[in-house]
Amino acid sequence: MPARQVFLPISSTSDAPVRIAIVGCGSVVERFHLPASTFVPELSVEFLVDRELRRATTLAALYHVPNVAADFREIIGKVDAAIIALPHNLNAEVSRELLNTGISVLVEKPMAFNIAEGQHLLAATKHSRALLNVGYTRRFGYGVQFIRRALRENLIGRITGFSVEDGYPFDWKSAASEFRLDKIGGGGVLLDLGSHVLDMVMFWFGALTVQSALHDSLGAVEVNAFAQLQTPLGVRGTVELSWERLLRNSAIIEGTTGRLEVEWYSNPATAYLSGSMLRGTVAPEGSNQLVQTFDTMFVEQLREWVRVIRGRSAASVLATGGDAAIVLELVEACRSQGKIWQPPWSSTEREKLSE
Amino acid sequence: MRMEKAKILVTGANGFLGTRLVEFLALAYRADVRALVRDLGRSVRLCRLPVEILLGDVRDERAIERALDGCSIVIHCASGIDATKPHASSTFLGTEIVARAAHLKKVQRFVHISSAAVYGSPGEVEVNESYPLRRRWKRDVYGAAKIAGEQFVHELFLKGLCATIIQPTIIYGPYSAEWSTHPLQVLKTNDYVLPKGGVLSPVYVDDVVRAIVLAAAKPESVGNRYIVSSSDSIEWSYFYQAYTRMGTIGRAFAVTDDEYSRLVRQRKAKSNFAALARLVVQQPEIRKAAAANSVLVWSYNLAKRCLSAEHLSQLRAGHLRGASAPTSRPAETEQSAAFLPGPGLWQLYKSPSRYSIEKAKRELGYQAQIDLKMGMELTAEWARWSRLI
Repeated sequence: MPARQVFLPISSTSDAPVRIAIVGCGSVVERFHLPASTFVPELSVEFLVDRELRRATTLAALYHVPNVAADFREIIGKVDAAIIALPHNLNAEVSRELLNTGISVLVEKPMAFNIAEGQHLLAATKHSRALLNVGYTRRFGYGVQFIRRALRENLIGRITGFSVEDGYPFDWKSAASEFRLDKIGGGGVLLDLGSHVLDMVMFWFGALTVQSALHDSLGAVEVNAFAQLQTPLGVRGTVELSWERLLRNSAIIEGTTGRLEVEWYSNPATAYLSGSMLRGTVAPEGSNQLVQTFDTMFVEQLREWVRVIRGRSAASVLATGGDAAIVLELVEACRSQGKIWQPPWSSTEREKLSE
Repeated sequence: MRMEKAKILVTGANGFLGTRLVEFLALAYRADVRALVRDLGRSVRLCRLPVEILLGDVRDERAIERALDGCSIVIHCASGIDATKPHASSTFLGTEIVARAAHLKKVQRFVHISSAAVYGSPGEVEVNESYPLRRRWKRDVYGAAKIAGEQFVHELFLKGLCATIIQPTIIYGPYSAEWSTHPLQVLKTNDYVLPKGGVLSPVYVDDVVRAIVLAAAKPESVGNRYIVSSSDSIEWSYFYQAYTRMGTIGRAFAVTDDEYSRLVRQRKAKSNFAALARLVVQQPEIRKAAAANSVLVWSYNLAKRCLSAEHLSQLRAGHLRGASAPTSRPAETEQSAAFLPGPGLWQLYKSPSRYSIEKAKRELGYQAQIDLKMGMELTAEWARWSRLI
């Protein structure tokens, strides 16, 4: 473990931009974090870090980032905070080391590969003045926030059930050739896509428990998963995830006096109340933007992160390490309690019998 | 040769046939499989399986050398056609590289997945493995590449490569982009026009997998090629009607060549007219000139009649100009249009040739076990789950 370094926290009254590093220069950084950073003058990207230095250098030139490094330890003492966007299995280790040196971290989801890693990471925050936040960007969707507010204000009465579907044929063009969807790399659909979805549902309802689950891992990772969940108030609902097929990609919440629906790929949310339809959003004040893209969600996330690490406000939307630890527990519960589902067209029993 | 004891390299492992093959090898035979793929992002179905997924292109000699390390069986499923550079394609160059490397490494078995398309369209006959190899039509890039691939493999067999060639006919089943997803996507909303009289011998994907495993296991298969199909030949319209029975809106119906040509002409005329109408509506100068030109006046009035008010106003406003201008009729009328196969596909659908699987039955002990009814039932279950229907 590297020697603990003294770190001066950013003054809450300082107007100097927060100096940050971005560790990992994969697709999510190129497509979202770096473009988003240009819309947040309160922060200044000082370092790009990637094991493939050429990749970091190329992006640094595009975004006028003054420093690049191949080893994340080079940023210690030179920045106030860091965005960690590494392959899933590396996120926790790097985040922990940086937190130990006083650098606040916004780590891409999932913050860790399993519960144990997550707990180690949380433990690091207890001994550090630095903060740990997690990139559950979907929370910043206006429609997602509308649903949260609608539920708090009992817009549709008592909640009777929910159904969430998220799925599309996976075709992520990873910039890193070593990125893998496997047990030791990227994990399965529950850890990757499911982290976002389960966090979103918990953002609305609070901690969930798994009633039953199905997944299709046959000795590696799951590509399709289904879970029946229960909220703290005893409401049951379902979450279906797929990397193979295009699903509804929406959440439907049923209540005694109406129904709420949100499609996170095309905000805002819609409320159906006793025969009338109401389209709702919680766009920032002054914004007349109803249709939101992922790009703007990343901008909003960075803005709140800067406010939080400057100590000017507590996280209201931004996920904390504690939130992410609960998500990890839910993912593991879905896996461990889940039964293996093998569809009839995927059976190999016919062949064995016919030999 | 026992699959359980072998290290097996499968190229093109994330394709329709390759994935199902890997699934069987890993789960039914507990084989040690190395799945070679060109694109990790499109290999999610493999991620469920206890196999080694290796990134590499079959046209990259060094990648193939690495992929072959420790493998005693190679099943070469990779196929890809580039009409602009046919000699650089996976089917052509990739087969040459993989087969040569397998020969140098002295693998115990090399199974090359070719196609029954290598026999061309010999007419109303029952094709068997003794038929000469030829293209189906003049610009049959796919057939030409598959023939070349077989020739490479045969040359290396003469030099000692323990090679077998498998020639499937039309493979359908879950995840088949060409013969299950495509017809379902079309028939979901549109009719499908097919020729009268053309036949096919469809084979369910699991039966092809069975033939491949038999070929890899049986030493007597070395040096041979095998047509792999179901036992029956049926008309294309009958095959596509099986999809319509899954609950599609569109119907499959057969027409004569003359009717097909008339429909193609009609479609071209409509698309030419639509282009002219767009020009007249969008360009003020042409509209002005229309006042003095009866043909343009006629075109403009026709355009007004044929295009929806909303579409016409969008065109006038210039919203659909340039690259974003529509190249087909508005969606509401497009939905009712029947799908007309292009000339190459029409030729394929017209072929009256049937295929004999006697050699595979006799020498490999192959027997198609999934008939059309069962194959379509499984495909329908998958299609419903995939929300294609």
